[in-house]
Formats: sequence, structure tokens, C-alpha cells
Amino acid sequence: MNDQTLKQLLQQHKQEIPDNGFSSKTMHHLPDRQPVPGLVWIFAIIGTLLFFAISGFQQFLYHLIMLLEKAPWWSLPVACSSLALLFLIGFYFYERKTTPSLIIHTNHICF
Amino acid sequence: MSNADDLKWVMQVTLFGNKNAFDPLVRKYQSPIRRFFLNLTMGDSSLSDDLSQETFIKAYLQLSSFQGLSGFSTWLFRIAYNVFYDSVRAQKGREEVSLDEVDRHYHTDNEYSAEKADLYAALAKLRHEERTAILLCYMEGLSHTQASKVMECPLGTLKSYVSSGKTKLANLLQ
Repeated sequence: MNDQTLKQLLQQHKQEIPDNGFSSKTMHHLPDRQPVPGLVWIFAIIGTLLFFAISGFQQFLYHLIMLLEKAPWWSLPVACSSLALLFLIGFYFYERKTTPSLIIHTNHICF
Repeated sequence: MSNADDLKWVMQVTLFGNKNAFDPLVRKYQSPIRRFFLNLTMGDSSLSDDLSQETFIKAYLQLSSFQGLSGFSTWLFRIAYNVFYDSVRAQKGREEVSLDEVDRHYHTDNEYSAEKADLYAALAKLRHEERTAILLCYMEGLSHTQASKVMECPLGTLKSYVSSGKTKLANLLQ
């Protein structure tokens, strides 16, 4: 029996198993919330403390003010609207892509 | 739904704690995982559903350990493989006292053809590593590399399982 014959034989017996409520039942049995690992919080706190300890906030403000003083008057509104536009475009495509894919039927799945 | 979509749902669960984002993953992979168990349990659908559910719950709980180095399906099959052999080990411990379980195993009310019964009978005669390797590579379409990751064995060993399983199956199904 070669590879192809065995593959054909097993593929003949391969069946798509209908969901029949299995997914809903499984989702119902999942724990409510997956806790964020404690280590993540520890590093987040350490990072924040370090940021303030090395005057990161003051440095950030200083550089921002310097930048605004040197830049032309129109750069701030242009930068803000560009960022807002980018955010809206990203959000639109994200929603468009995610919303239909939430309704998935096993029949349409190629595995 | 591509691998990128899988990763997107995984990130939504792990980063934002969005439990509902796990639902598309369960819907996508319920069929291959349940089929994998159905073949490993020789057609015991209720046992395979229980094991599948356990697999998805374990996957959900361990989702933050998924690094995306291999595909989500490979990672999920790895968990399924562990769940199955954990249950086999647990069953072996109580095999001597639980004759009812054995009886139930051979008298499941599953509807499958004589051909399928032959296939199950043949698969049952393989070593469990051979059976798993054959099912992963030829039924579920995983590559040898992916199957070796699922079974956590070297590629050469996996290939030898496939080869010996194939020879045995050929003799049994003739």
C-alpha cells in the first residue's frame, strides 16, 4: 500500500462532524476570566516607577514643548487629524473584517 | 479563517481577556479535533466529545503559552494528544476493576458502516504511536514535521511510526 492509496482510503472515511451545539456547550464550560499573569503586573509597575524615577515624564514634556515651539503653526492640527483619520480607517477595516467572521459555520472551513 | 485570524483571536483572548473571541476558534477546530478523538477511541462519540471539550478548556487556560511558532492547529493537536494519553493512562489504572467500562467500550451505539468498523479494527491493532502518526498525517493532513511536533518526537522517529503503521495497515486491510 503506497502513500496515495492509504491517503485515499483514510480520506474516504474522513467526515466533517457537525457542531450540534458542541461549541456553545464548550464555551459555556470555560472559566469566566483568564487572569493576567502576576509577572506582567509586576513588570508594568516596575516600568512605571522607573519612568517617573528617571524623570521620564518631565523629559517627555520638555521635548514635546521644544518640538511644538520649533514646528510650524499648522503641524499640530495636521498631525492630530492625520492620527484620528488613521485610527478611524484602521477601526473601520478591523470591524469590517471581524464582524462577519464571528458567524462561522464548520461547513465552510477548509482544514 | 487563516492562521493570521487564529492569531488575532488568540491575542484578543490573552491580551484583552475577551472570552467570546475563543468561540470562532472552537467552531473552526471542533470538527478536526472531535474526528481525531473519534478515530482514536474507535468510534466512541460520547468519550470523544468529552475529550474534545477537555482539550478546548485546556487550550483556553494555556492560551498565553501559545507563542505562534507553530500553527494554532498543531498546538491544539498537541494538547489533544496529551489529553488522550492522559485519559488512557488514567483508564489503565482502573482497568482491572472496571469491567463495565470495557463492556461499554465495545458496545457503543455508534452508527458506522462495516467498512468503518474494519478500519477501526485495523487501527486498533497498531501501536498507539503508529495509530496517532497515521491519523495525523493521512486523516488530518498534517505534515511529518507538524506531526512530530504534536507527538514531541524526532522527525525520523515519526517517519518510522508512519512507515511501520502503513505496512501493518496494508496487511490488515487486504
